Amino acid sequence: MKFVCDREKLLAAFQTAATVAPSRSPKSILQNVKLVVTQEQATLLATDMETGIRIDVPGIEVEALGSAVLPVVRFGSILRESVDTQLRVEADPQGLRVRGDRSEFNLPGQNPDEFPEVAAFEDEAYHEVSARLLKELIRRTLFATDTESSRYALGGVLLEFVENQIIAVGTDGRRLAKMEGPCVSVGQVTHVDGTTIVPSRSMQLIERAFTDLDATIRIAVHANDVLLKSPQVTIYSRLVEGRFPKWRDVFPQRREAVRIQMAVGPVHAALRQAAIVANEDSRGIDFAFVDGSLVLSASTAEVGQSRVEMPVGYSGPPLTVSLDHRFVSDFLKALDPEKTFTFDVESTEAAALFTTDDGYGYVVMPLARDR
Amino acid sequence: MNRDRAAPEIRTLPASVVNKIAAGEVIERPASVVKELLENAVDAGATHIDVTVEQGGSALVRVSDNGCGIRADQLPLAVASHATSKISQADDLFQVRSLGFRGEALASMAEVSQLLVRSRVADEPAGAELEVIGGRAGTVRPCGCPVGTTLEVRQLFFNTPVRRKFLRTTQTENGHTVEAFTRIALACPGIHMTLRHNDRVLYDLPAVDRWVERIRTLFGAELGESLIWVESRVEEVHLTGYVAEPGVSRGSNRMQYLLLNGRHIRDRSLQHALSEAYRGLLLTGRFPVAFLRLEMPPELVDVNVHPAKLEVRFADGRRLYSQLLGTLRNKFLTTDLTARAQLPPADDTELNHGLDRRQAESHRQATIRWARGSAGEEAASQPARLPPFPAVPEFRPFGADRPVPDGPRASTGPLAPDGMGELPSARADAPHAWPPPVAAGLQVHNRYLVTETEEGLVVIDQHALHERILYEQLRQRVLAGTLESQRLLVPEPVSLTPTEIAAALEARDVLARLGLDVEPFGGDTLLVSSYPAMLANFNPVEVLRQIVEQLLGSDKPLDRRDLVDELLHMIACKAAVKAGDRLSREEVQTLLEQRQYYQDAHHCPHGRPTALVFTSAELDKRFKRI
Repeated sequence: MKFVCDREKLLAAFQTAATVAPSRSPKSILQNVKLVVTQEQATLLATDMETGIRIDVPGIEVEALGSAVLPVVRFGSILRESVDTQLRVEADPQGLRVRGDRSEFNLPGQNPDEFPEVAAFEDEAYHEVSARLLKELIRRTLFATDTESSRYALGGVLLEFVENQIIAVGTDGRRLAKMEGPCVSVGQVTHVDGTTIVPSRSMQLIERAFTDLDATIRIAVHANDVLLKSPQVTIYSRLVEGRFPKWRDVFPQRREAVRIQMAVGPVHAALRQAAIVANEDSRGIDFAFVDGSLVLSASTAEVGQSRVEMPVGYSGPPLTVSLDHRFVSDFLKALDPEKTFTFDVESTEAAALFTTDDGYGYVVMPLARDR
Repeated sequence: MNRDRAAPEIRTLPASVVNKIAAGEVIERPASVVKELLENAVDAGATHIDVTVEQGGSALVRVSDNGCGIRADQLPLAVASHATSKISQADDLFQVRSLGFRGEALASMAEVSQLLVRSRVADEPAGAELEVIGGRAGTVRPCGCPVGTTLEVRQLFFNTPVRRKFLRTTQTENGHTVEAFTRIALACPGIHMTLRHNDRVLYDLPAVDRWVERIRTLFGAELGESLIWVESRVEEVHLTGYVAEPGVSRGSNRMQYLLLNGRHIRDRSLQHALSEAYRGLLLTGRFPVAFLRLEMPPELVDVNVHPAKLEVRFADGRRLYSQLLGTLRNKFLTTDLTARAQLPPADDTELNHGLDRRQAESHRQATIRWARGSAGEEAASQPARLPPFPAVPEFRPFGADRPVPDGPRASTGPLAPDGMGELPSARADAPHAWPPPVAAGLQVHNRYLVTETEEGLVVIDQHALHERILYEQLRQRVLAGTLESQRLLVPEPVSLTPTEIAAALEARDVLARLGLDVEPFGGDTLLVSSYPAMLANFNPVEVLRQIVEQLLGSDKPLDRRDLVDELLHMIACKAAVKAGDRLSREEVQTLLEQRQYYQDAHHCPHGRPTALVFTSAELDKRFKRI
């Protein structure tokens, strides 16, 4: 195998692939990235057997076809440290040679045939989602997952596809984030609800690897794994085994509740102030709605008290709900500070519901105090 | 005392009073009724027994079996006291092969309840029934019924209001009832048994060939997975059964079932042997789980000691002790304990598997070294098959002379500022303060800190000390503030044994004030709908289980403060540095500086000592200087 590459373009793709390769593994060949050069394209492959990635590398001038195994650390360093715009790479059973204008590196080679297969996207039936939406779905739900739950499979984001809608749900049993958006089904897709749980780690990878926001992502769901493909990148991930709670039963459908429209930025600022006196053992912030204003307050023994008031469009009897400030903050962080959201509160004991007009909903169970 | 008073007349008590007195011994609570009736059914050779209980047994206990039945003309005798078919002469007392033999139970029950017995033997066309209310028997009437006996005990203690007042809540009584049922069910895996409480089926146990199947249906598959088979035979005494891996333990000795010739018994000495066998494998305060069967000729044991036959007297108790201890030790020596206890979860990466295996292997080696160390003398003295287990040498992890005796200190509560006086080096002028360290500390084996004090050399368990320090800090913070309780989106179901459920529900108010809301969810399940927010990193299931064990293990009702303490222990233990963590010099120094802030820093919250002191006098002695 022999080719000349654009160093920066190869580096960008290589770094993404390298995040999948495990840094330590009993199967040592996994600590490499495989490069396959064919007539049409050059592709980087990496896998840790749970997830896998294939990235097409642009800017490669092929001189001889073939494949090579590239060690993550050393080859990555060469790409990073070199100052040349182009590098010439040659691989044969003797080893790997990388040559720049004034530099040359020899690395031992490994047999590319030993590298495990990385699944490619071959499905005829799939869903199509815009990369922009998919990344937003992940950003807004991933933080609510819990990798330590034993009873439910909460260590990932649940994906559901219903009537040209994609729904993503993440929960840790105390709060639940749900986001939906449009998608298109192509071919004969079968719907299986409640089982497509993509591990948090894979979701992170997906969010990072699909860099082109305007691309269309194809998603093919199988019983035990899921494949996602953009024009350049294909990601394979095994699914989390287990049951996801029936999230629709948990998501409040309320008509009676008080709905208050608020702006993200000011609420977040007030929350951060009120939370100054919170700590590990005392996380609760009281959200007290009184006529025309919202008072955030917290009180922690040996730390102090805080009280922050802000005007809101609320009229009605005073209503207080106590919430874990980090849970609320997670929600606000996921939103643009300029946006508004709706705070939907029914009583001190009932779940608080936060919604936005773009299909995002977030349920937080309240804290009880002073028993 | 008035000397002129006439001497009171001595008279023989009427039979009904005698029976009421006897009932007080045998029939203590509804659970005793269940036990006695079940034993009768088993002795009658039944293969199918149904138990129905209402209101924890105080309203109704009904036991139906398909055993041999009682002939109509024998029915009045069955409820008469000291009438039995199980023995006929005094010598039989030492040859008892049935569960019952005293001929007392039915008569006692009949005296304090409304009892109905209905029975039919196989070769009769019809059955007969007899009703006894408060000891007054009716007449035997013919009735239709299947072969076997049905006994109904209604309104227990209806004529002894004092006794009735002493009954606890339905849930507690039901817990005891279930326990009585469990004991018999465990002893008789070959009998199909069902238990209903207030029309709800609690247990439906099909007849099984393998004992472990019965254990699994009674106590859950999780426990069933962790059992190790043990067996040994010494002369006529045959010991078989299962013990759980050290990874599975309980906070009390409730889960130690000892069956002697099919009879559940409690024996302090054998329980001690069990704990002794697990010494070094379990943390202080944890108890092993065991299901053991002892088979021996009836003449080697006297069961006529305790009215409910819960305690027995062995002809040779010491040898049994040795046999049990020796069998378990030998088993542990040859078993890969840790590797089985720490099977990595299925979704783990290969990477972790490798690490876990290595760790497990090193643990295993340690366990084997431990077992060898303790059993070494034993093996040396009897290189052969060790048949009679004459004496099992004591396991001494600290050599012959332990510098700090830990016996009395284990009982020290977290707040008790005592214990210092027991240190060999304690000085009268500073009884409650550690002397400040005069030298830097040294970490050895990433586990202990060694430092010098004015008296001598101190070896400190780093985990225990750090845990103690964190616990004190937490306690101050928490007691000063309010406890927050986080509600759950979806309540978490927790499977517990009926006794544990009863305890949890009884303490429901205390738990609620702790922030732990539980509600019954039928069968062996409780729902946790909220739990203390400061325990975010813990599984609510684990939290509840730990608390319930604490409730069960305590003699007095625990208040909120006790339970908060328990939660704080859990947090502190998890957050503290572990044995095996490498500490920097600064960290070592900081730890050592902090220990003097806490008045009883020489105890970790679990009661293990945090430090051993070797006084310079003692060192001198060891080096033969004095």
